[in-house]
Amino acid sequence: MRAEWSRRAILKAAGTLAAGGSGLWLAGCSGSSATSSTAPTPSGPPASGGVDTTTADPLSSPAAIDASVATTGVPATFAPGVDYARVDRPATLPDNGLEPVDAGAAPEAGPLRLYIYPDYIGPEVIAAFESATGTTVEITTFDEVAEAEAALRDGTTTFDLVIGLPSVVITGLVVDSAIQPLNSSLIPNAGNVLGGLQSPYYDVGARYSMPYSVYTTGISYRRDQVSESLFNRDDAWPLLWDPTYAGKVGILPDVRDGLALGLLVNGITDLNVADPASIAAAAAVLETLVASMQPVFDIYSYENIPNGTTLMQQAWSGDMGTARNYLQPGQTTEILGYWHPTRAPISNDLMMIPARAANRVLAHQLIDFLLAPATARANFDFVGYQPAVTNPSAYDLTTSGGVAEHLLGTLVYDAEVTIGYRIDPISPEVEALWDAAWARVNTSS
Amino acid sequence: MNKRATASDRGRRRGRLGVAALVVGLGAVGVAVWRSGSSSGQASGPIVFETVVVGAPVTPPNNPGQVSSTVVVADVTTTSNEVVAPTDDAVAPPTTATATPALAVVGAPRLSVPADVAQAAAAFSVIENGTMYLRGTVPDEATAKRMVDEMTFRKGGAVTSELTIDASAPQPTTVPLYVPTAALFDAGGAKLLEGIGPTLDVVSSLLRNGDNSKLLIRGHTDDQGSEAYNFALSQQRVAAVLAYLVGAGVDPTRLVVEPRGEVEPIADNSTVDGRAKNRRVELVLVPA
Repeated sequence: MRAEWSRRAILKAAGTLAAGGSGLWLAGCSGSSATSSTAPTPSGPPASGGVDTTTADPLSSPAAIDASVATTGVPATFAPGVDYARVDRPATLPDNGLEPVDAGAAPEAGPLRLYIYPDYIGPEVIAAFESATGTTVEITTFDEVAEAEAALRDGTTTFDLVIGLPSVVITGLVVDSAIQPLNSSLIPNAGNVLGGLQSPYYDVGARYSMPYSVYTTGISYRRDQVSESLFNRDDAWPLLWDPTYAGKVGILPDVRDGLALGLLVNGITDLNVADPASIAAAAAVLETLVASMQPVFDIYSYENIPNGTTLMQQAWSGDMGTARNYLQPGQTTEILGYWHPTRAPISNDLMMIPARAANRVLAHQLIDFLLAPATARANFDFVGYQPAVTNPSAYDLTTSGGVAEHLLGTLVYDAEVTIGYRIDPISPEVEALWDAAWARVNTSS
Repeated sequence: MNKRATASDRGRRRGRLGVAALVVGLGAVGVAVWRSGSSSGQASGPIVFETVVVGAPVTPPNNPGQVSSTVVVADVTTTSNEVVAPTDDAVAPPTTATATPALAVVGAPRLSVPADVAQAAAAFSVIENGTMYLRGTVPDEATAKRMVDEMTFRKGGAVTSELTIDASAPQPTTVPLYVPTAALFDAGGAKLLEGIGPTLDVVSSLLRNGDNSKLLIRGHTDDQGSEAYNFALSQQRVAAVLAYLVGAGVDPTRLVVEPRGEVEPIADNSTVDGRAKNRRVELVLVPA
């Protein structure tokens, strides 16, 4: 594992921690931290694109799972009266006893205290906001989702706005009264949010959150060394198993994204699956990847692809936007490639106002400012991750030169948000299954 | 292949796509899109309505004077075993559904095997402005009635029969459904044009009222620009159709997307007209 993380590394690792919750991705980085005694056992040729699951011993105790979870992957409730949100089962988050700021309240003097990942917002954007409002913005950064969640809950720190936490955490933050409701009348630019996220399934009515960025999970690749023709298909995940590129591939290091790769190559698109056999099969096929391809387990595709450490790597779409900042001398963005399936894993980060925010009107103003078309574009040019807005659209970003033509696939269209697959919260029991499976994958590395 | 696209290339593409949106409605689908070597004969039996092509009328080879006809038909008896030509030797898909995995790694997942077949037909169905027509030639009245009954059931409403009877016509085993439209998308983009609803609503009704057929949604482009760009564009377009149909209440498990990018041209990409024909979306209904 690297001693120092770049802003994107920190950003995305934090996100994966939130999704997985186990921290096992760190084991993936080091190639150690075995928690399973199961030896790597490459299975035989899959019968139909799947894998032999007979080696799935760590997951052979479905009795440990609540019956309702085993069949649906969704426990009855997250907390009393609070449902687990799924795309096909949207959840209206409960009232948590906090009231939104009054629409007629005057803007505070500030300073606005912003809590965010390092370099996840453009300095010029901040300067423009300060100029427009006459206030100042004080930025405090966090490195991990868990760290940010703890800060929002502990009662000792106060921020006015938190940006970058993924949607998977919002239910818990609401239930714990760590974030407060928004006043939508103070966010007129909310109308610029991507249609699929105007009233997102994880926060129906957008009562507590506005989306900040949106991205898919796919494969980044070196376009000058791996033919883009290989990616002219909707099922290119198996390319990561192509022996031509042994030792030059990588996968995401966290349990949820990592095992999602195994699920997808096995044809399973429920990325919150609770079925032990499916989870075991995902692990098994990833074990074959580890055994034959020696992949790196990390989130640095934006560096690895330019410097040649990997030629293909499971990655987030925004990373190829970030990669333009890591090109080697003589390189251009022409070397960067990105592929995702049409129905891809979709994620988005959020903007939320902490419970103890003191500058609540200012916080709303910054949210609104970031959703404005010009601001969203300027912020994209710095961050590299697509703002979750309609204007500028994905098409706008392409045709205006914001994204190289061949990287069109890094952008997320509204329809793709609608049809994408989501990683959502899973119960502690199911999470234990995922962790055990992921540990087996790591053990084999 | 890594074709380089410059800013000026992009500018030219936008112009071409603007033309494409118009030309698509004038005839963007040809029989070449359907692969040969998949005929299953002309035996009588249940008629299977299985093919939907979004594009424009083409001239069928067996009815050269009938400009508004199409002959695009799929053969359901062999769909599961047909393959698409490999796009690259390094990871060529298996040549049959039971072939050895292409990747020489034990336990490695293999690339899936797309299916596609074709067969010419004299009878076909077509959707124009939300109205479904049955056209072409069938050998007898009984066959015509079966076609009308089947499509009426699937559509959940009346269809208009313009079938002609010719005893020498082959007994149809399959009947294509063909959807001409002036354009599906905004020029160069992936947003469905307003007004496309009635056509896609008919498609969704066919899925709701029939058996458990699945709909393949295929997107194709011309070869201008990088392959990566064209693949992504075809993805975004099929995603738009998929999202529309899901929003219309179609079970998403019955919808299969097949973005193809630029690799399956049906016409000469060196000409304006050919490129226009190559930019297309096809919808293929495959019976369960």
